Amino acid sequence: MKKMKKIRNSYLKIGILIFLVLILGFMLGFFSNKMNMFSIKKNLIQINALIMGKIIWIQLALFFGLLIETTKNLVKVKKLYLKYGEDEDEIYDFIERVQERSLTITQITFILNLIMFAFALTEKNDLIRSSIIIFIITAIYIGIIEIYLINQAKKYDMSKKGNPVDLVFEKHWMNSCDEAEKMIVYKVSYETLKVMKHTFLFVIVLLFIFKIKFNAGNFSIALVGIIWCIMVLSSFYYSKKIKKIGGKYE
Amino acid sequence: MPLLNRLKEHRAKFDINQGDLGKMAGVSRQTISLIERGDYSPSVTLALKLAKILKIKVEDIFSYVEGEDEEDEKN
Repeated sequence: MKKMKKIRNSYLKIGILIFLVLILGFMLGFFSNKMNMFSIKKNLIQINALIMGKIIWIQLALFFGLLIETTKNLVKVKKLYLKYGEDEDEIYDFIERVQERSLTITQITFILNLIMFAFALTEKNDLIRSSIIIFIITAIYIGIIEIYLINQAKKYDMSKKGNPVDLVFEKHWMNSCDEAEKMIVYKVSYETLKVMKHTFLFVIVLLFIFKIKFNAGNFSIALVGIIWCIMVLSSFYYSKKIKKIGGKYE
Repeated sequence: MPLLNRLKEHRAKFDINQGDLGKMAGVSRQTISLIERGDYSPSVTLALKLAKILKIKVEDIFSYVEGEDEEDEKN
């Protein structure tokens, strides 16, 4: 009886959610017809021109921001380790959090660096050579920091294996993780998969609107769709593979 | 499924840190920390290893307490 009630409630929730999304879509469509799309397009072009005009400074800001943040974190970690050694367990938790944060910031900076470099690659950019040099220097620095962070983690935990410059580094690293670390990776991967599913849907809807209102074209929609398919198919493939080999990933 | 543990207490009696206990059990310091905080329930193998290292029974480290939801389902 309770189970039936739960099932009915979940169908009701989905129904209400679909209805609300329909209402939201209707309102967005209605109000976007009322808005002056020409002025919105003009504003977007102006924003783009502003970014293009300051691209070198944005690239430099990214590089120096990363340099300051990572240097600060690495010095903090080293000082803590020298001061407390291996005896303070709580300090180790803090060190691991700082290292994780540094790695995340490094990866986000890499993505932003790529995007800014893509923006800078245009004939209208007089400082294109400088943009290329800054991009290369930032990319090299990011690589060095990531290798250093991984080697630092290996130094604090001798059980960790894997050369960060190796092509099969992730495999060796994963194999050296213990049961709890593997469980964390699996759970994180699944949560990320869930987030990406919703993100892809949202982005495709956004691109539909851009196509209708700004004549944005089909390429971006097709690209997002292809990436979404790759995610789904690789999830399916590895699910079958791992079930076949009894849950042991190698 | 709440799994209560007294790992930190027994580890303190042996006067070893998380890193050393982890090395003896073949796991990382982080795993020992997660177990002690109750954020991770170890496998049977690991629980038995820890009990053997600390020279006590598994039941002395880990105990299982039924949650309210499980009791409701049974009733």
